[in-house]
Amino acid sequence: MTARYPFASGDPLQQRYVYSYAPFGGMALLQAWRASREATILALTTTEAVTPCDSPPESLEPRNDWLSTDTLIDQLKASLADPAPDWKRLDRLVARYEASKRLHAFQDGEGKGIRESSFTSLPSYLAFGELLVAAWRVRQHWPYLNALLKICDLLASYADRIPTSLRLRAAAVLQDEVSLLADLTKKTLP
Amino acid sequence: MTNGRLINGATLLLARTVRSSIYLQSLAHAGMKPERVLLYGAATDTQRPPAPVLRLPAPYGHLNGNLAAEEVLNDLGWPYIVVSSRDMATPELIARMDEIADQQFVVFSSYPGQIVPETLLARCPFIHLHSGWLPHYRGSTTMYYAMLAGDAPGVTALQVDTGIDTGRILAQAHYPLPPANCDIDYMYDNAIRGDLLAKLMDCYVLTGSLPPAQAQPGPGTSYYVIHPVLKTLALLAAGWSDDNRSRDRSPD
Repeated sequence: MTARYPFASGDPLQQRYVYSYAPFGGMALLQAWRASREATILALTTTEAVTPCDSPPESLEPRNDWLSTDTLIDQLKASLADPAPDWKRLDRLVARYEASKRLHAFQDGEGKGIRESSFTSLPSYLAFGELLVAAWRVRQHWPYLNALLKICDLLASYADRIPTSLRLRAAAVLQDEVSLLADLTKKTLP
Repeated sequence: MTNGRLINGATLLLARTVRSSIYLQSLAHAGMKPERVLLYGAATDTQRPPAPVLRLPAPYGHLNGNLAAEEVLNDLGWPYIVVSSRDMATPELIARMDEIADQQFVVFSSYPGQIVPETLLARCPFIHLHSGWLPHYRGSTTMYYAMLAGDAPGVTALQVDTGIDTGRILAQAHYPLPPANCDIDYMYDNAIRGDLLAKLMDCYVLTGSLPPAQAQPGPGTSYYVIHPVLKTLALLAAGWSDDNRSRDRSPD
């Protein structure tokens, strides 16, 4: 019987996945994860969204000292081309995401998500996934790959809602994740 | 063993977790007994593995991860104080801590995600056993990240400060990779922490003082709960195989 990959369905922005204390899954888990991702990539590239969901309108009026998370992600993406990328701010964004498993639309001056702002923008999670792929390629830092796996779980869970304009980008992030893990597996396992 | 060498001035502040149970068993096995034990949280907060866990091979074969901390205390006949709240900042817990005279230090084992409130830190040194070689492996589930990087598991005893795993180091030790067919999260991880705790307390009992606390050498790296795919990869890299899967505990 084929194992089922348990982290690619549901509503993880409302009911967050619990990753701690997961039992050893063996090769069966890796195969189930891979099969799940391939099925999602196929769906993203060949079908339309069942219930497309663009960015929710942000009703909150941002304060002057808040920063848009989308802007921060764009800045960090651009920074990767610099000789000295802004790892500190990226690490802080990863830390905040790991703490809440959410990306709020705005952050305060310390990088803390504004809890009153929305956290359901799939384009933001997609952009964060792209950032993590690029960051891992520049600096093989485990927290980036770890967060990427969680972001890809989230994108897979909401694949039915990803709008047409973003579906190929989402498929590309998932494909990159699969490739990065394949490379890692080759290096890690005898 | 119920009557061991007394660890004068030592308080164990323990959540009702498997880790606390293992700490108690580790000290008892090493022939030591803390001066005081304070158990916090209600009986309904007692953490148990989702399925019975097997004992580890030697040298940790004496540890039983299926016994709750309170059961261990009762078996040992050690007196203990109970505070019913699982909140470390609750006035009842703070008041209980304030009642303790001649308290040299506190070894604590908390519920997941808790940090020691500053109001407690101001009272005396708090010692934490972190499963990871500091400063390189701060944060959560670092044993698996070390395995992915080809490093040996490590444990660090540190004096807690207001940061996460940033305090001054009292002792460190490396340990072998976890044996195949063992439960890591509930057993091996806690067993090696308990081992370093026993060694640190043995040193304290022998010399009458804790080792000098050293500032961490350089900046560290913080890790977060490892994704199950990476965790599986880490264990496969450490020589585990699908043969181990059926003997591992059931999912949460």
